[in-house]
Amino acid sequence: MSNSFSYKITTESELFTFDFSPVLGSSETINGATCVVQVREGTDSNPSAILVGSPVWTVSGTPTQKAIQRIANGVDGVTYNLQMTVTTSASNTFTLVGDLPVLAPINV
Amino acid sequence: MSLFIVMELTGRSDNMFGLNPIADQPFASSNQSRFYIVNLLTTVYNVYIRGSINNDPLNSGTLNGSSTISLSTLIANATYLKLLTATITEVISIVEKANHVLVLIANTILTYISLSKLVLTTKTITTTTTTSLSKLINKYFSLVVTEVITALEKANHVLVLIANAISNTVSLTKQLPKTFTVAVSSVISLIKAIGKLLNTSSSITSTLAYAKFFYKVLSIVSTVTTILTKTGIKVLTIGVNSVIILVKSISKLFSIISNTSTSLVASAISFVNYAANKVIYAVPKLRSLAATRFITMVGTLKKVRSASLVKFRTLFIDKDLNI
Repeated sequence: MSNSFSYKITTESELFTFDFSPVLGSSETINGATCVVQVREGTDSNPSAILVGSPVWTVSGTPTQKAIQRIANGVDGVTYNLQMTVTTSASNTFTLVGDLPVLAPINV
Repeated sequence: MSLFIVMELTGRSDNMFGLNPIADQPFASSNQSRFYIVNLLTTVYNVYIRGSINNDPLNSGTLNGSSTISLSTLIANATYLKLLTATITEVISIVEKANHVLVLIANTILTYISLSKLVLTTKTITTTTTTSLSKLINKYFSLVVTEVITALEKANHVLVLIANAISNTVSLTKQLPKTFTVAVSSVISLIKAIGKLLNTSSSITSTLAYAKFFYKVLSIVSTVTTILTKTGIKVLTIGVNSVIILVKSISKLFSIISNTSTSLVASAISFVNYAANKVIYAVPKLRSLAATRFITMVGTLKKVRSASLVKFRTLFIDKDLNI
């Protein structure tokens, strides 16, 4: 079972947030994050191309409990599966998975 | 000779029918009435027609060579003549009413065909939501199939009545008007139901020939059901059952009315042939219908997504509920 973001239009470039606060301790923060993308439905030979840069987990240099990934483009009709894995200050590792449908403007 | 005739008449009525020819009770048994009519015709032919060739009993007082005729013979003959006249009138009335029934049945069938064409030609239906389309289809099938089955059952009932009426003229004349009313009511109900469907589906846009589809369903063979959805199978099952009922009705119509209504039998044959010929077109239509529904479903999901004003850009980890 997987969560799902709302669909993204191919022309959009937005930040997608993975919030780990529900499972982190009050003082526990993220100290590393990796985002991997796969194709759940449809065809895209290079799904990683939708990832813009690396995930960010700090605000003004201060670690937080959220990991943020910018995503752009994508192929119309493809549903991507985003997997954000973070390590924490308490040496925990968590992975949050979510689907992201991508649609061309004309199909929205 | 006249004594012989008196004994002959009295003997036939007493021994074969349990009737007193003088009594004012023409049909003691409905099962014997037709045979009774035949014997009446034979008797009267012997007494009046054949006898009148040789000797007119009313003018010359002779009958088949007899120089005298008894009073009881005259009374008996007069009674038979009266009964015969009444019976012939009744039989003619039955035939007329039977024809009327068959015309009504034929018109009912033609009405369904006309309605099918009407729906096909006047309504191009497109769906905006799968839900509404499914509801309309189910509602339509439910209404139409129910109405048609009801109509066919009524028609079948009418035919059974006709069969019974052959041997029971009195009950036929009493029951036919009631049957007419019921059958006509079913047709009117069907027309109203389809009219209501057309009104409710006016905002829908997808080419689904509901009525024509239904009509063709009636002719579908059971092997076709394997390619259909569960709903389709259910509809086809009902449709096939309807065909069986219809065929049985028409078969009865053949056996019962073939001597009195040749043109209507021909109409029934024409209808069956027409339906059989259309079976070929039903299969692709059914496939098209199923495909349309699935495509529409996909489109609907996209529409639902587009209707959402809030985009979710944040996922919250929750191992208990979501992951």
